[in-house]
Amino acid sequence: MSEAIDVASLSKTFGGQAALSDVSFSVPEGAFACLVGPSGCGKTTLLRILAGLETPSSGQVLLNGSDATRLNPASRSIGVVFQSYALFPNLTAAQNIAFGLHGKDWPRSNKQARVDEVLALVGLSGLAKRKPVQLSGGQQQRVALARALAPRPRFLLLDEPLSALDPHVRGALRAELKDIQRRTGVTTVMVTHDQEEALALADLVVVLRAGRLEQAGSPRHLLEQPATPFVADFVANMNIIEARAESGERISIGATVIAGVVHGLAPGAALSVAAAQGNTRLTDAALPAACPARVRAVEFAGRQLRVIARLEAGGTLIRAHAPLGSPVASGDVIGVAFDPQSLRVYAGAP
Amino acid sequence: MNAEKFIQRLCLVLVTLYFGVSLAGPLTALVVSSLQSGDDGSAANLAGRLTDPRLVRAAGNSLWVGALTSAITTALALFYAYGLTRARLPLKGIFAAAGQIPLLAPSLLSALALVYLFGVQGLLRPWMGEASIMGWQGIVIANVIATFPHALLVLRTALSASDGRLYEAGELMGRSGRSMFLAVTLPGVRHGLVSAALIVFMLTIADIGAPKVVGGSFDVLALEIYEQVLGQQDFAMGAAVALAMLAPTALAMGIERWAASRQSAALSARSTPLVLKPHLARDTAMLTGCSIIAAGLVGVIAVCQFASVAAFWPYDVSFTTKHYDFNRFDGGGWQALGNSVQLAVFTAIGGALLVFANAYLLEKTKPHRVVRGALSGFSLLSAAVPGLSLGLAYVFFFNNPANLLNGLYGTMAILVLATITHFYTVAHLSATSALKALDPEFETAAAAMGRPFWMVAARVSFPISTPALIETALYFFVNAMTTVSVVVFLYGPHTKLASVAVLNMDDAGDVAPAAAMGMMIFYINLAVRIAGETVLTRVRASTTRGKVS
Repeated sequence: MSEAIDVASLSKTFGGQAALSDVSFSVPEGAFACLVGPSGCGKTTLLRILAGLETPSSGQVLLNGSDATRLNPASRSIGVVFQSYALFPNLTAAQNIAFGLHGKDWPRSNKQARVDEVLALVGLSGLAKRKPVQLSGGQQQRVALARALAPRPRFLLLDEPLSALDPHVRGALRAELKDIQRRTGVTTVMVTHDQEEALALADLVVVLRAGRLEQAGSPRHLLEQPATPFVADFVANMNIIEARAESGERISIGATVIAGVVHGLAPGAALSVAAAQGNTRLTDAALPAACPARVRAVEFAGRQLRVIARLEAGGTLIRAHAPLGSPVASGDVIGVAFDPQSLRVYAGAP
Repeated sequence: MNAEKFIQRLCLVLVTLYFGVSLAGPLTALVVSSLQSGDDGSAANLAGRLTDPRLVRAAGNSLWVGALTSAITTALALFYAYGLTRARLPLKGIFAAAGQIPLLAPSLLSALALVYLFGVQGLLRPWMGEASIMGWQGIVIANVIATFPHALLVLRTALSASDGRLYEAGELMGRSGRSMFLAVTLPGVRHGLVSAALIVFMLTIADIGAPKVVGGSFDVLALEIYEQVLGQQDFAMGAAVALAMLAPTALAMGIERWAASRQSAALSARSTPLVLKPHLARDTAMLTGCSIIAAGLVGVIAVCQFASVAAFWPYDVSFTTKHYDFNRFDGGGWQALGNSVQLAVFTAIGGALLVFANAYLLEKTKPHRVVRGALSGFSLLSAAVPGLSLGLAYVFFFNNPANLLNGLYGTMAILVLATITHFYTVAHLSATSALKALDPEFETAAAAMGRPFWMVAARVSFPISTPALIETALYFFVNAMTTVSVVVFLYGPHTKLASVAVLNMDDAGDVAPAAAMGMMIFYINLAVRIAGETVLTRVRASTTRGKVS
């Protein structure tokens, strides 16, 4: 599969403030990429640079192998769906969609057919004459998507398109969005702050933090091999614990020594350890391999309990699951044990 | 350079040219003229003129009536606006309409009503004993009536923006109504109060009608310019006085803008509307007070209407239409009324389009920040220039044979240009807020679709802003019909205007025809306003909202 989008050493500053610093990644043709990260990490700036709405301070954007860094938006063959949808409120759904169909590629006869086609694609065939105010949030989002897809762009850029919808509608539309993208085959880049959404939709997840690239890869790769404690925490939802290297394949968390952890670091070196919630078990505090912790809260999480406890060594908050009916309550002192094989170790304190 | 950038640049150049011709050029000519034609043509000469005892006295008088009118009008308007927004007043629509009545008539009409009621032959003269309406007291009363709607508009808007949650929180904390008024209501309308007071101040010191009709021998700056230019033909002195008048209004405008920039939003997306509970003492007091004020405002118009159809007020009140036979009197006759309508129509259409085009360029396009900053400054500057000063500045600028635009002098075009410029700022602020309410991503979305900004402007932003566009056109129309100060030096033999005719007929002793002409202006404005409201209702119903909440 060839690369459709190549972002090379991209940086952007606003009034001396760096919004993006030396970001590089590639999106294969036809892939669905998600830019994910907390608020202010630069993901929307990056999307606007891809759209040609902002010019980078340095670096390059290649679209299908050609330098598009300074190309205006109209010449990039992109469709954009904005967070607010930016639907024109005085135009009907069909008129909104037709707004982007202009020039010699779209004679009047083809326009109507294309409008009908994309309306059918997003499942709104009967609503062509409705104005945005007469449509629900989900329907507006579909019109925005249809409008972006109508001119048959080579790239589709989505800026948090689902964030304004309630969770129920969002879930349904997420699946539909993925389906439409697969059917059209358009290379897509979507911005989201919701890592669950990114993992559900993307072929490629690009994780940004404070304007820098943390990791780019498939959802499975990110979940199984998070490159940094931030990715482990933000994307994989793992517990990040302060630890110290010991001799051999051993590490210590406070006074608790855990064997069977490969780290390759000098004894005494500070470490960050990432443990998946599924591999974090609650046990008796008296067991030798258990880290003592005090329970702060117990919440219902579907068919099990989510226990939030603070490790006595280092004070890190740990999240773990326990079966429904487990005799654990806020204030209890418990033991937390980790599966040594599944722990990921990073040099340096969290 | 692509077509879009070229068009943007061209529009910026055109608007810059407009401000150059309508504001920067004339004001420069005014400054230059105030320095010239004296004994030595120096700045010392200007200083000498500005320290002329007569001018100093007039300046003091202007500040006095300005400040007093401002205090009284703001207090009354706050009371009335409070009644309209925070009390359970019956017939609120009628009270609201009554509060706007003086806006539809020239400010002279309130002064004429005072003459009819309290003048030498006034209806209520026998009850007044030795007291006289002529002098500062007449100017203040006439201006309180004339400027009341301006203050009311500002304060009503400020009081309407109330967050019900704050009052509920106060109630839960056991705070009294009075303490909530002092802790929540007043701080919430602080900017509105400053704004209303300054607007009234600026309007009062620039007003020429009331001082001319009921001022007696009380000198004010506006009258001084008028006398110097039209009476004594001393243009240099007129220019000096016009400059002197610019200082307090520019200062007032500066303070108003500063206060506006410090005002934080009174409402958030989570605000809840204020639900008014019955409160007998408050509602009775408000009903009584508002009824008295409304009766006063309606009374002014009623008195003028009555006097204009009375054979010889107050001795023979039999019905006659002879005062409406305008062609029998000096002032321009019915033609003047036709000219005024023509001026109002051109000003309304031209002004609304120009204001929106400029506001769009400033709000929705990005390049040329310095030029846009300058244009933004000019858009606000016009409110700081009193009408008489602006009118006189136009005389100096356009009546100069060396000026390529000299041909405009004495034509309808110069009247339209001057009127649009004089009323520019308020229209600009309302157009800007209408455009700010649109989703800022519209232009970005269009750019992503390869559509130029003017396509979004023509197909989306302007159509959605139609109600604001119509409001702006109505604002220009009504003001063009009533204004005197900005056009009084500029009309020619073929472009005499109705509002100026009121002034001239009163000056010539034809008081009843002056009142009749004033009433004709009132009725035309009323008809246009009603028609406008009808159209607005339909347009609002048909345009769907695209506002960002």
